[in-house]
Amino acid sequence: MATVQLSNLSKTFADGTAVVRGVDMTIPDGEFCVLLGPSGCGKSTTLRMIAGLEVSSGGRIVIGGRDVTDAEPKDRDVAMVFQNYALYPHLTVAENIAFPLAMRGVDKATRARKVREIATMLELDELLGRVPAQLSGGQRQRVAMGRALVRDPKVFLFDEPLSNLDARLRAQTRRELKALHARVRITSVYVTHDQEEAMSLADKVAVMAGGVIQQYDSPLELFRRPTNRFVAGFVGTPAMNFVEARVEAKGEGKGQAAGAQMVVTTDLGRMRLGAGSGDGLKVGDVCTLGIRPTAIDVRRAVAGIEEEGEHAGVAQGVIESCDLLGEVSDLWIRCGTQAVLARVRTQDWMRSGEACLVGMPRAEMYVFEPGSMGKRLSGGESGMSEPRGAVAAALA
Amino acid sequence: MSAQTSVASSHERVRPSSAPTGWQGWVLVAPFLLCFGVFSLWPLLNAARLATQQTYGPGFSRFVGLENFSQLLRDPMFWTALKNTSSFTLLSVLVQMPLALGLAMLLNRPGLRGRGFMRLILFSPVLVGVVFTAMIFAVLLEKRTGLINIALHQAIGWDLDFAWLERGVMSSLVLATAWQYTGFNMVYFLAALQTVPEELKQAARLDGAGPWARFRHVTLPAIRPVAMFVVLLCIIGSFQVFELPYILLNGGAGPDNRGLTLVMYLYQTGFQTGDLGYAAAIGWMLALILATFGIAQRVLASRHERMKGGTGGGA
Ligand SMILES: Nc1ncnc2c1ncn2[C@@H]1O[C@H](COP(=O)(O)OP(=O)(O)O)[C@@H](O)[C@H]1O
Ligand SMILES: [Mg+2]
Repeated sequence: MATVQLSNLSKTFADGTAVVRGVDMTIPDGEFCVLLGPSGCGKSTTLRMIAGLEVSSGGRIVIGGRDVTDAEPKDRDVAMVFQNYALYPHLTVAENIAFPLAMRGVDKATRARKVREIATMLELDELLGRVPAQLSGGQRQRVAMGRALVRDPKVFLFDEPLSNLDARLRAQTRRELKALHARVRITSVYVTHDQEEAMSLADKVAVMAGGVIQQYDSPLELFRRPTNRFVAGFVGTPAMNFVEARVEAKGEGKGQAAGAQMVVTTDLGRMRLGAGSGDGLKVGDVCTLGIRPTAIDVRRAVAGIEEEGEHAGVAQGVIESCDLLGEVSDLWIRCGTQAVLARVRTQDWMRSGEACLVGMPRAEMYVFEPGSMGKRLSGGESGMSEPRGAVAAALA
Repeated sequence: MSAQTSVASSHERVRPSSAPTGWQGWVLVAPFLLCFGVFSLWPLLNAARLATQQTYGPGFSRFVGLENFSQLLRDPMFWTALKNTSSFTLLSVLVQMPLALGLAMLLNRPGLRGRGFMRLILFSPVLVGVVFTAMIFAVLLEKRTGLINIALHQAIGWDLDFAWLERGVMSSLVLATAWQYTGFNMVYFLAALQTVPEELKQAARLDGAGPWARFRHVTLPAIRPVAMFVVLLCIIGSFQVFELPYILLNGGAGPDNRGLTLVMYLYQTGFQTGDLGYAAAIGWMLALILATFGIAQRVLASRHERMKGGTGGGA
């Protein structure tokens, strides 16, 4: 059991590419932390530096109060579960699990007892005599877990351990992993590019991009108050819609609709955003607006009706494609040059080719500075967004 | 290599749904059967027939049954040749295998520069051929002027007049062969080492395995099939050694027949004495010995594979 502290941790490979750049984070004792980010952003490298498999180029790693930056992997008291499980193919399940103990000179009787304990815990009793080639993917995964668990490490490291499992098994193993962590409470660092996995497992998620931690927060905070456009776009399914905007008017006056404090022009038409939106923006500035697909109202187009009310703006569009998911549907709607994704409650008329109105609730709008890493200026002040299909249904 | 192939086929033996039937199949394999029959099977059978004859040159022959074989077993020259060839083989394996594996592991280190170039350099002796190798070593092993005696003399005060090709025949042969074939074997090992999963080595490091334990528990099991194959190649090649001593020892077998090998004895009886029947019997003995090694390798390989992924060792 231990706190893991990374300070200004960096890695530059021999070819000169800086892959991890100044990572600072503290993972409290017993917490489950997920490193989330797109492929190639430096997650594995960070994890491997914690493990000692990669030598850091700068910064410190402290585990349980001990500086292990220069320690050998075996002296760090960390265990790792690899993407391909990395089981020893010529050893049986029992021998695989016992391997770390054997390497540490634990006597045979203790080894056997520990293996039995772990096997019972992970339901591997029946499989102890088999070799890895005789196991299914899920069973191999459990053996890898067992080998990591067996020596009571201070820290668990996982590098995309579920990515080789099929979807059903992945969901099940995810639940088992969560239950296991709740039981053993070993500080864990878990790398994945799958944001759903991250959200469901983590106490806290560190979102990485370009070797830098963009945000380190609880899953809910990440979702509600993403620090920048990157996090907003990466976290949440389906991904947030973005549209470029230019500020046309700011502040009170000019006879705008009640409550509208900033008016912007976008490819979706003019939008009137709520008070306090776009902190620091001036007339003529560009910014990015964001709205989650689940927050969008879609209703059937009725000629001549285009009310705004609680909406920042309402755009006319045509349904380009409609993916029926059951209770809800994902609609790709073309509004002029812009395509918008909306997840709404399914209704009979929703078919590709149908004209519709796309309403964007003012309370659900995010404003970011321009650029792919643009900082969040406003948005997320209200609670969670919910599918608003009901509203749309009433109007249709 | 052969072990791997057989594994793959036994695991996923697929029967094509529209396999050609009857004469179509025979037409397809006919070219192979023809070549095999004319160039392999027929000579082999002919050699078997020949082994039951006593001959004086190509012209005269007489059926003697298994007489050639029973005479062989009583022939001290045959036993000398067998003993020489066996110790040459054993020494070659013992020298070449660790050397080749060691070099391969050096070349396999991550981030090594010029790996391709070094691999080519180490591999190149096998390209120049055995005649060239023999000539190089004839010079290197010379008494006063040979580089080997000079180097040993300077290093440990070795006798400059030591006659390698009289008093150290076996060492000379093993050395020259090692020079020629170690790089060749290394290429196999290097290829095998590159298939050892990096993840596995790292897992072992985290599990607390030191370099030796990692070699024993990760590297060795992974390269085992290739290693066994390379050993087999080395054994087969060594048992057939002929040109090297023939050239190095000026067409003879060296003092006290210390350089007499099985194939050289076969050559002497067949083409110098002219008893082709007796020579064929020696050839069959050689084939028998090599077949034994081949079968042993197959058995070991398949046992290994069963352990690794087949039906054995199950719950
Ligand atoms: N040994 C290496 N030498 C050079 N570049 C590397 C090395 N290992 C990884 N990289 C690069 O570092 C970047 C980050 O890799 P990694 O940490 O594995 O990303 P991921 O977030 O997908 O786990 C990638 O662009 C990768 O190509
Ligand atoms: Mg990775």
